[in-house]
Amino acid sequence: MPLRSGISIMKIITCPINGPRPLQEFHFGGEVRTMPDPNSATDEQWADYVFNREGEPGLKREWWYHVPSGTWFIAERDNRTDEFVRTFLYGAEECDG
Amino acid sequence: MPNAVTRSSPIQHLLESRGAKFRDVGGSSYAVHTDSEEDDLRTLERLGLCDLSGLHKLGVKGPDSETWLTSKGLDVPSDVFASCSLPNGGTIVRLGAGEFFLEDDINNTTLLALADRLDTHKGKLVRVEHQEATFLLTGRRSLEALAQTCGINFREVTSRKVVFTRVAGVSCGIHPETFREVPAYRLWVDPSYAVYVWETVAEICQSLDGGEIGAGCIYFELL
Amino acid sequence: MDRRLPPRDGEWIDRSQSVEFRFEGATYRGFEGDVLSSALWANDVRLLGRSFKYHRPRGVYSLAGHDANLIVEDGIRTNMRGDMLAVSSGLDVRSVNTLGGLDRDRLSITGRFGEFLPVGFYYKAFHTPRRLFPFYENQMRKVAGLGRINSANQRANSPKDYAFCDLLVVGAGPAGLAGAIAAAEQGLDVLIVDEQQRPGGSLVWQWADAATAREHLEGLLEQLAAHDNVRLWCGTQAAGYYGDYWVALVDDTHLTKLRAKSMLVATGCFEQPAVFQNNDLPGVMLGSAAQRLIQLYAVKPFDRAIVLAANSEGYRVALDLNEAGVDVAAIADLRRDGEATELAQRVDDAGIRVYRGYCVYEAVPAAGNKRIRGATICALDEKGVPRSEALTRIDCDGIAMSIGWTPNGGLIYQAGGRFTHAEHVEQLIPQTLSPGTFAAGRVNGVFGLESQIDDGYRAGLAAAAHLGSFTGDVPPSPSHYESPSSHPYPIIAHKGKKNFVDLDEDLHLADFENAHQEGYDNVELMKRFSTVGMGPSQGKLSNINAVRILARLNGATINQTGTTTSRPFHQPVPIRHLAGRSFHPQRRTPMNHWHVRHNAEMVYAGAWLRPEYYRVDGESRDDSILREATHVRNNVGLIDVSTLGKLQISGPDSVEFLERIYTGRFAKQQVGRLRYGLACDETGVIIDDGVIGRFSEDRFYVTATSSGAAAQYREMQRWAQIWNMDVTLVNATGHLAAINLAGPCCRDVLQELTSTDLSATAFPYLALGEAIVAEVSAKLMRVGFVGELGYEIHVPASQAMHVWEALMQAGERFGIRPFGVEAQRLLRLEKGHLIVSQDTDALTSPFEADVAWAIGKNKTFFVGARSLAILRKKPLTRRLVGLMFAASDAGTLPEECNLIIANDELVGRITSIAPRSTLGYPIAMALLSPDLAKIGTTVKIRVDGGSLVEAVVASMPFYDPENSRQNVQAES
Repeated sequence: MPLRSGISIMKIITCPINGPRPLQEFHFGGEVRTMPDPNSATDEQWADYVFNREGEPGLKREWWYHVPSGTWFIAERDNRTDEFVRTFLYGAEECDG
Repeated sequence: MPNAVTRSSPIQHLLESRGAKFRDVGGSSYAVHTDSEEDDLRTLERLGLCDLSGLHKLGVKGPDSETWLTSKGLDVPSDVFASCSLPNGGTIVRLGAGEFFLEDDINNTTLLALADRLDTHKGKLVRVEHQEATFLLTGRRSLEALAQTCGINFREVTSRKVVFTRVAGVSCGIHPETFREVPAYRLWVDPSYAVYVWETVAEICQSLDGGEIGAGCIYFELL
Repeated sequence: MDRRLPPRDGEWIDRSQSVEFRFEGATYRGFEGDVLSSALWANDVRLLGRSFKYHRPRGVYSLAGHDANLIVEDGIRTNMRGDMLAVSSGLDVRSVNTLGGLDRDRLSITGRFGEFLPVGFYYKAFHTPRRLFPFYENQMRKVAGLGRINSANQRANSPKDYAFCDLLVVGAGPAGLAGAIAAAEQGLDVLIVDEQQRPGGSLVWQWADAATAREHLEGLLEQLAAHDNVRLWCGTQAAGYYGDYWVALVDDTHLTKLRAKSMLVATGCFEQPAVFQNNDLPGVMLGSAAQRLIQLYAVKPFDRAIVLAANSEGYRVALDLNEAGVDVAAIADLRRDGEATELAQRVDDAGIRVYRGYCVYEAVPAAGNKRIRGATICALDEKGVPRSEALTRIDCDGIAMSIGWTPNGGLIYQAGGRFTHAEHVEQLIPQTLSPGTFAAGRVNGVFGLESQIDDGYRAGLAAAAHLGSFTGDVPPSPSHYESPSSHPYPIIAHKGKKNFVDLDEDLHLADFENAHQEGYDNVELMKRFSTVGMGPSQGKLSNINAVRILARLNGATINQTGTTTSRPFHQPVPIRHLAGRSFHPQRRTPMNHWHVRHNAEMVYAGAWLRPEYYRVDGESRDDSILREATHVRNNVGLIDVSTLGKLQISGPDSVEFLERIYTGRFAKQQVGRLRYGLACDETGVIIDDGVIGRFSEDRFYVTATSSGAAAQYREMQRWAQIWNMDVTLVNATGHLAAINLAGPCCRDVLQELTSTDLSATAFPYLALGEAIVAEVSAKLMRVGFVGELGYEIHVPASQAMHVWEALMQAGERFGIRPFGVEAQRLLRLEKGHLIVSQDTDALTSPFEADVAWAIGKNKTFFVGARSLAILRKKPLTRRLVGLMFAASDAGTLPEECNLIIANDELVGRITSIAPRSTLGYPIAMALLSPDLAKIGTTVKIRVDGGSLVEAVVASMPFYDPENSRQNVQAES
């Protein structure tokens, strides 16, 4: 899929609780990652978890925080098209279709 | 008796320096009116900004908060951010599955009694200190004034719901209401930002031919 | 000479309102409704501006704000475009970019040096000799700017506002108006914007000879007026698209932040110039400019003119000129077959001679170049090469060019759409549009008037369908105009090198050939090396010709060559509009006005306003700070620390939660006690610290740093969800004020205001309790940040002022004084207490900062633990240490971040420094290489200016190492 040339400064993100809001109301919380078991992970595996992130273009799972209401949620965003595919509360993804 | 000390508004000194007269009701100070009573009423209907920070507020948070409130005979809203009225005229808002925000009427009849009974509860329910400033933006041009600070399309917001968004760059809860048949918006702002938000919104009101008004035209018991 | 024509239907000027204005020091008259360009041209003022590089004379070119020939300033406002500036009484403006005025611009001499100023010359000159570079730079600045900024100007607020609609229609021409009507009929809330002062688009100047055009316009406006769900904003540009249909709308007074749900782009096209020798001089203009002059402003553009044409529009221009009394000497039609429509017959009937297959070879300047006096034309051979050996000279004072169009498609690009070059119209047309974007009219490659209206209507219905308001069938897109309206290569080479492609940047054809020869053969490289399209008109009149030239040089098609990225703004936007009201949130504590009234020097700490110190007449800042600190050490002081983060953690999992967030152990912490809390991130770096207080088994009260509080609370919220813990978190930071009372006498002061027993046994160091202070419910702690006996009192914000004043009053007989942030920073430095993000940075671990003692033993897990386990095994590369300076060094002391040097190597830096302390000598904290960190080692610090200052590594705390002052055990 070709890269979009659109500008995205004023994107709308749909918060699962507050509904669609402009980007300025949110704080980006980084990639969703699963912590390996600190007790069994090697130093290298632990350093990889702590410092490295997935750089490949595609569907990303990200933490986002709606600042005025203090709501954390997860967004799936295709960073090739900068499209928010869906958003859901942590732990709610199984119920969400 | 604890908390007998009268509560001041975060913008008290600001209003005092503009010559406002204050009265104490229900344990808080309120600026009664800015201009004459009639002028304030006209401004209210055109575009007015009123400081109601003296209204007592309370928060309850925790898994037991809903059952506790209903056990005290209060109706609680079921949807997140929805509001309903307290028995004597105040407001209760649901902030989350287990969190509520209450603002009392001017006589502080409901919350005084409630707050006393909270402290003994174990950690499943905590008392949240709420000291927000309360600003009421009223009038036919209130939406126009708000549109200079806030990117929410209020024409699409159903009333009796609080919108948590940014006003002039500051996190704010906005509760659309009607007062004396004109639209009104109640703003709840963290007290540390109160002076900044008040001065910013007041300046906007002034540029749109509105102005600051006293609480006397909202609560006649102040007059 | 007055070039004004008799009154005509549809003119925009109001002849009953005469206006007097000044331009370049001379007075002229115009009418209400004139723009500066039209009023000047009406007065036969043709020299309107000087070009950027060569200072060539320039005149009217587009009369639509697509060129940047006339840019003026009035001493207050700057860089106003003459095509868009309404004349008004009292207007007094000058052209920018001249030295000594427009007429006798001394910089016009640069035109003679064209040989030495080829494309990209500044990349290759002026860098040697190096010492002359500042000189060159200063001189360049003088010649390279446009308008001047008057720094004495008063700040003028230009408030922004938000607006909303279902469909934004950009352009109120035939297509836009039709689209708006279609959408409004389906119930959409429509907002139309047009950058001109009145609606109509090309209907008001291009079709003006046809009565049908006026009828169409009136009909469309009438239909529009019938709907109250349509707003029409003229004089408003859509400056840029910024994502999810957020569009910046800009008019003369302000910027509106519009959020639409869809967008219909009906912005039309920019008419394009031809490239030939002297195609930039006053008198050479676009055909549409001549038509605008005639139709909108009733100004006769020329006395005698030729028209360079390659489309039907050119023939209409010739007829319009003829009807306005201009002697149209000839049409030079680039097309060998000429014009196929009935316009050719009408031109013939008017007696206008047509030269088919001819180009304009050069415009002949009059003396001084300030106008033209003729044109030379010649035939083109089968390959389109001019047969310059057989030139025909025609006397004229005007050349109107009507050779092509390019779409005003910026918004479509910005919204993620793509264009393709279509040969059948010789124009870029939209290929893909993002969902919610619609295009209609000439920007969509549709040129016939009726077709434009149909296309607009179709697009409006499509928008309604997209938003779910129309379920019927949307008509198909109309086919595009049969023969191209644009010439594929309207560019004529000339050895005179004044055949301009970009008028803003004074780039002529050979510049592109040279750039290509140097290897800049890709459109992005060509743009940046030559600067084509980078001037004020942003390539509206130059980009497509540049692409045509590059394509030909590369032997490629236009689609293969590509275009550069279109970015906001469409037209220039004053910075004042972008600033708006400049919202800069400020946070104040409840005692803020008291500090101000008591002469506090207020400073920003993030968004918070805090007292730096309290000014005293006759005392310097440094003296005041030292005095405040000394007073705390010897007596009693009061500081407002309300900016501290205040977090409540409650619930059955509180202990477990805190032990995971902080490095310490809290399971066995007694109720009514405080412990130090140190928080690290997952990499083991310190991110926050504070105290952890226990009110009950499952209720904790935690302080955080002022700058880190919001982040700390936010992270706690996230971790609580991830770990699925039964905790209730509350951020009370803004709701509670905090007052710190410190000094040997402070217990006496506080005891007057509370019945809580404050004796050393009842309320020892690090005790915590709920108390009533000055009749207000308070949280009370005994702390030691500044190293004296001290208490911290947390009360609700609405009652804090009362408590502060009560403390000041109770302390009066003890000599209580307030102290500010600087004194506090000094006092804690004397105690060796670090401040997170002052003495720590983004890499500082607890080991480096000497706070590893705060890491609890035998903990199974906390955030950062695993990384600390790795770090613990590695040797330290730096440590936080204390430094002492000789007392006499007070004059040449380092500042924060000055570097510690040993053997020409960087071995550390100063993190905090106090030039004066209550100990009588300067002290500092520094991060230092462990090799040098032994007590007593001398180190050298490089101060600003380059000299080295010595200091000695000292143990911390500097003051009261046994902590007997803060831990007062026995009754004093």
